[in-house]
Amino acid sequence: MINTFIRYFIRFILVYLFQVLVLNNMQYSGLINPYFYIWFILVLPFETPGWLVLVSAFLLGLGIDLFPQGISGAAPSMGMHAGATVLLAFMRPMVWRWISPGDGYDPKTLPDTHFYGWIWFMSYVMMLTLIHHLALFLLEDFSFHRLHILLLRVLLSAIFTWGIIMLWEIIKPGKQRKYG
Amino acid sequence: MRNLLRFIIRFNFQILFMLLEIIVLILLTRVNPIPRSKVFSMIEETNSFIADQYHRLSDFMGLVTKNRELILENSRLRDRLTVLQSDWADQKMMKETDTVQYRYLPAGVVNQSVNKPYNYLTLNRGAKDGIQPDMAVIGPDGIVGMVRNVSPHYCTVLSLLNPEFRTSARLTGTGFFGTIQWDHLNYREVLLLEIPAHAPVQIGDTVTTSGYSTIFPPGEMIGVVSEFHTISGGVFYQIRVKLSQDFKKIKWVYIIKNRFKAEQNELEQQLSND
Repeated sequence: MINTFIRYFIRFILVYLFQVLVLNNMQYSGLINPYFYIWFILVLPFETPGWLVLVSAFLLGLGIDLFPQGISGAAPSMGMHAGATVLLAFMRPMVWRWISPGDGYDPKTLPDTHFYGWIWFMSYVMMLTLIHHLALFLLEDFSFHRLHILLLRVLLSAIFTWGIIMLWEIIKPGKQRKYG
Repeated sequence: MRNLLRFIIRFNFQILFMLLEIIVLILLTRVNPIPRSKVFSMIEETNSFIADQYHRLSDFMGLVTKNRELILENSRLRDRLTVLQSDWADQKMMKETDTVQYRYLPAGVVNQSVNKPYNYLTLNRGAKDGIQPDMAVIGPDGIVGMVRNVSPHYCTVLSLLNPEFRTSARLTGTGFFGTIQWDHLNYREVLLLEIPAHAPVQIGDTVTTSGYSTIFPPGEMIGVVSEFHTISGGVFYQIRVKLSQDFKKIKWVYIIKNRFKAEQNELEQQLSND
């Protein structure tokens, strides 16, 4: 139990650093910015208590919000990552219900390809990525003014985030049979 | 009390979610001053966005009618224009019969250059219409140049886009005046020189003729300030002026005669003779 906690805590730190130090500094285009850090919340075990998922989502998002955005970064809206990630954590059980496989979920498993297959994982990640990115860019802009640009940003960034998560799912070391 | 406690435990996930999102909203509205004002203007903005789209749609739906109206109006105006042109020519408006200082004679552009280092225009008015060298020429949107040579039916015009052309210009609103000159670079821009560095210049300020020459009447539009920096050790500004007149679109111009020019020159001549 303590072991699991420490493992996830280290993973939390690593995901955070990868996001703020690597992904946030890559300049693809003004329209695209992948947010891989949500992977941490997406693959938390099924039986993680809801309050813990919400709190870790809040802390992770707030951490991204607090990190300086580099020289080019326009002033970020403080709290936008926290808000979007908390929403993601809240929606997670709902999305599970929407795309529940025939025989339901086993509490002792992880939401990943090993237990529920690629089709399930791909749609699971895509839905939550879209929800997260839509909330994120809405909180950033606080307006529906240039809605088509906003939707384009959501779509392009979501595709990139989704792609990186899939890539990681393919290359990640050591298949974990079960957690803990 | 017990029920409340049970409620909180039962819905702890939802309650915690709402609490965290409320914290986020407080952060979003308190920490950054910009989103706070955005929150309050959001409804208003959404409303005006919808209204804007609606107007664009209704404008679009009315295009056919609008077009027909404009064609009719255009033909009406063209009719009047030809009548007026013949009137001007017939009446020999340049005759000095009253006390008006500046007379405007419409003229058509029959030839012109824009892209050469020294640019000229040719107009379909000449000595028979009372045109003389050094008369001012302005277009619909701003000054164009001044008459150089005259033949019976035509005249050539030294374009504003010619380094030989210089005129006195004023920064509207400040009262400071300097010299307008072209620097070969761009047919949409000229330089305004000799504005002292203590003048309050801003991008977008309008530049008009000053009237300190016997050629151009005061207040004729030249353009707007597009860029400026100091030169000559910070004593003067070098100001780039974006011309309001697009020289590639000129079809019609006005030739301006200053009827008191000879009188003013004669009077000023006496000073140097003294």
